[in-house]
Amino acid sequence: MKTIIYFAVCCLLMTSCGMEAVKNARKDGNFPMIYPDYVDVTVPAQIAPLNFAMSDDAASLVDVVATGEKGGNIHVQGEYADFDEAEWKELLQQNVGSKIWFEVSAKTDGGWTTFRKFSISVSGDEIDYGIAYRKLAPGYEVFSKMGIYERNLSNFDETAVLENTQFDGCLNCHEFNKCNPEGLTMHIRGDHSATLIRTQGGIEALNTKTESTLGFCVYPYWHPSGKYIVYSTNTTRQMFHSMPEKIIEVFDLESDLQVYDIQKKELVLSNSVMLPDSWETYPTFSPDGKTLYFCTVQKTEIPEGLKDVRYSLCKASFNPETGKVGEDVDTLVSARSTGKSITFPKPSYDGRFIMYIMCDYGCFSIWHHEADLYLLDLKTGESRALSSANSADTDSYHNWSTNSRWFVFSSRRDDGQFTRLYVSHIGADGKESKPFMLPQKNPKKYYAELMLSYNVPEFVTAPINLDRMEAVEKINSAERTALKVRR
Amino acid sequence: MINIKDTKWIPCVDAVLSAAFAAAVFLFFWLKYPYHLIFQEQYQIFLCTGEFARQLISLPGGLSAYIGRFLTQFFFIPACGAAIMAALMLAVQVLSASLMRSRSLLAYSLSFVPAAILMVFYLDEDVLLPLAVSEILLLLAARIVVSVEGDILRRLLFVALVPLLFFALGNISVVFVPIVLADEILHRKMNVTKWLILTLIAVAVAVACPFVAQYFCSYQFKWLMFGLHYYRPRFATPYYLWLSAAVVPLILVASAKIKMSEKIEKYVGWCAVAAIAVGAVYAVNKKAMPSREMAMRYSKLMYNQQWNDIIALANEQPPTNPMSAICLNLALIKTGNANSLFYYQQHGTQCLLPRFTKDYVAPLVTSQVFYHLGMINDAMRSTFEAQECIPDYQKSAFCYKMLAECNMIAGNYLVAKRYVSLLKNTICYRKWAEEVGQLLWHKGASPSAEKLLTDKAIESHPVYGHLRKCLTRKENDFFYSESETDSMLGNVYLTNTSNTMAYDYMISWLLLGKNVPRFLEVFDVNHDLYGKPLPRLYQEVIALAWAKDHRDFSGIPYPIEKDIQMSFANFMRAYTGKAPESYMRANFGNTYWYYFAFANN
Repeated sequence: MKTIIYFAVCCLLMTSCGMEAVKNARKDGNFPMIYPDYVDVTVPAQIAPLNFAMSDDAASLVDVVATGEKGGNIHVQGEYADFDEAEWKELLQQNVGSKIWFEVSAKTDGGWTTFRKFSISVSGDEIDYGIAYRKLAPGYEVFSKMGIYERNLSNFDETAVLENTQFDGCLNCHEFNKCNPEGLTMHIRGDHSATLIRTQGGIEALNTKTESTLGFCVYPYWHPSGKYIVYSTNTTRQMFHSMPEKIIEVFDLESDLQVYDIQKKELVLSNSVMLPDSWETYPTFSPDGKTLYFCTVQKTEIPEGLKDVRYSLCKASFNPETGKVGEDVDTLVSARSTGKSITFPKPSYDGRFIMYIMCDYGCFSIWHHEADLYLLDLKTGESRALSSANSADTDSYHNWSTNSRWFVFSSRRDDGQFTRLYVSHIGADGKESKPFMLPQKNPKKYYAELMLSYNVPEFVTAPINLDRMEAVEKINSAERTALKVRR
Repeated sequence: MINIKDTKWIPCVDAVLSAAFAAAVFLFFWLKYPYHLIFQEQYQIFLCTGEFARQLISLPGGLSAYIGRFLTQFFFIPACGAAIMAALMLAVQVLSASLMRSRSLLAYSLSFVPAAILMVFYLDEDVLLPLAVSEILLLLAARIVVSVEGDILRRLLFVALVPLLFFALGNISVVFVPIVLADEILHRKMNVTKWLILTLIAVAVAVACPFVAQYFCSYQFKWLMFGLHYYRPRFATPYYLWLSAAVVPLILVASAKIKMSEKIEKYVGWCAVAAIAVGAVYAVNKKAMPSREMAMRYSKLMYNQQWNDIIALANEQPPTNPMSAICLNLALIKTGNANSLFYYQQHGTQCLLPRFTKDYVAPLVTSQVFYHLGMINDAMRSTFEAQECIPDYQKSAFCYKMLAECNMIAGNYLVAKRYVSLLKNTICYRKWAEEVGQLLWHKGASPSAEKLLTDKAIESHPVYGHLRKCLTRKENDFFYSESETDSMLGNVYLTNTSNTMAYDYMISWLLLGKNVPRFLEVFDVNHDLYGKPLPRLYQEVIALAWAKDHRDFSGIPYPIEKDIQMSFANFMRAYTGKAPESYMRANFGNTYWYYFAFANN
């Protein structure tokens, strides 16, 4: 009896730990079709294991040998390539500035097939601690459970920063001060509407609606000094298409820019970004804090003129002493010359580039399938599409890492509806690499079952550590700090 | 013949009473309230995946939510749902009885009180199954604890179970504390001081649980205090739902304290049985909502596309609310009976295509209208919004199925695959998912070849193929506008003129909106469509319009039958003579004239 038990245990251990030999494999000269597509991507040395599976469901087993050019080797086999975190880290560290080659074999009913080897490049440029983003169902007007989450990029840990299960409302428009989570602003919509700001002084709930402005503060961007936040204020509406190729159109009926002076609790208004005959939106500061970038367009009748609404990328000087925006506005990229509309300009923190989105028309590129990422070189004034990062579907909201060598963006390339996050490397020359999808433990299963979209991704340099209880208490209380207005 | 004075028959009487109770519950839910059960199933999803279980069970009350949702998925078969309800109610009753040490008929009759109360709660469609599951599991836990003989072990187990039950069942588990404490003082003869200390410890642990939980679980505190999974509306805390469990310690005390002679107890026991039965029947009658059950029946028939059954139902029990009227009107138009719209009571355009409201019921009904009209984007939006409005943040397998169909028709195959793959993880929708999966997945085909194969499969599908032909083309694209519904319907019709349903909806919209001038404009352009003789409804509308500027029907360009002319003359005579509305309804209730003159929009 004992022998039988011993034999059974041995068999069990062998079947669970052993690997099947890749025998008589057919050679395929093509790269393997894997999900996520990590073929030829560039990754930081800190990144979590790039686990993957075969794209189709025909393979019952996948065998992967990862070999570093500078040394190191991992061999895994299973339903999907599941790399051990410690071994993966070691392999990446060994091969910084070099490549790791992956030999993938897949077992189907017809036996084993070994594909052409592919590589990933391990960059020496570090990436920030993590990414913060909102996750919600890609819906229309109503929202169910949603939240802002943070993801540690060196492993698979995701933690909730704040979820709307503690108050009746919608969370949106979060922004950190140059990826530093100590400076945080986010907006709550609904019955408990408030703009939450966390500074070193704690969490404060603001009522940013004043009689002199259009409404609540919407799209934010921190001044590098941490003294100001520039916001747009928008009267936003949405309409619904009837043709299947498009679903939603989001647009503004009014929009202006305003600067919030955190210490004085004042909204500083400047005429140049509140023009009566134009709309201004998506403001950002240059890294030196002396320039304000934003998108603007002449007002038109909506919805009749919606398809003619094309925003240009402009700049104006900013006085960090007074919080005022200068009177002169310069156009950096004109919609007249591109024939397209520009949204979400984001300057790199080294001051060299501005990354933005271009779409056919309007201000909400997130729902435009043609939306693509573009890069403006502030040194040369030249703009170009980030063709290695872009896809046939929506490539939209993006942000830079603190060292300006990585950018994260959301894309609908997976299926046209659910946005997923991608990270791409960008060299000092402005050359971008093929992006990689945010890694997950079992990515094929995870993303297939995730009926939520990611949006507003932003790098964070450390865990956000928001005092959830305090934030919820502030949101649920009726107390709001009213703002003064200074012109 | 059973001699009820003979105590050896008590177990037999108990069994008969319990069986009768379970049978009553079963018959009620099966025959009288089946659509409430189906409604429950429509607004939830149960996935057979580890991640689904992990996410649910990690919340306070998650275990009972998991079990509750597992059971609820079978509610789409009414007999099965009724059997589950009967089994759950019976379990509450039997466990309540098992906690009593007294074996008298009176005690046994009292054990029906919690189950009867619970049964009454379930007449409200917002009360969810995890409530019953939690109650059963807490009674079971109490039963196990009180049966442990060793005093120290029992009391340690008792205190240890308080937080465990909170995390498994939600905060209704606090009732576990008084049940065990009652047993300790009544039957274990525990020293009062020790009992007070035990009470203090148990209450402190019970009170601490939700306070601790709020640090780990991002749900509103007052919601955690009540229980996340018992009641559908978010943040609502109807504590009366705890009553069913809360009466258990009271009946334990009552059954232990009420002492009477055996003979009297028998008679009192039977009186109690009768009183509880009468009380339960009265409460069920009082709390049941037959009008809602009827509305749910209408909508279920609509989801099943049982158009003739809807019309037959309307002939027996006409719709009493706009939702039911929407179902009926869709059925009438789907079956080519648009001209019979005014044979039934109508209340304006909201009975055709209601304005969007942020709730989880109406948009789902409206989405069916959009779907059958071929307005697939709007069907998708309404379904999505309905799902997002489900108050307790649940998703719905029924909605995912609808979204999958809309995406298949719209050609968004990758999105459709996502929903279909998800539904393959359910028990009740798996078969459907595997069937439509054959349209979407083509083994061995490249992505582009697969798209072509799927296109072909969808286009040749009897339902999806027809609806695809109705899709708005790029050049005809328009924005949805509730204030221009007639124009939208006109656009849908012009996209595909074989979509006569869109035309009928447009005409019906104008008539229900009493927009007779616009109707005449449309009619003038399209009068060839109507055939000869003109439908009675149109003759009535034309007669009404003509009468506005003419004294008689001479010279009217459309043939109005003599009996309609006479009937209209009679109507006008009565109307101008200020005949009472009851007279007008009795004589002209099924005419457009009556609707035009009396119906509120």
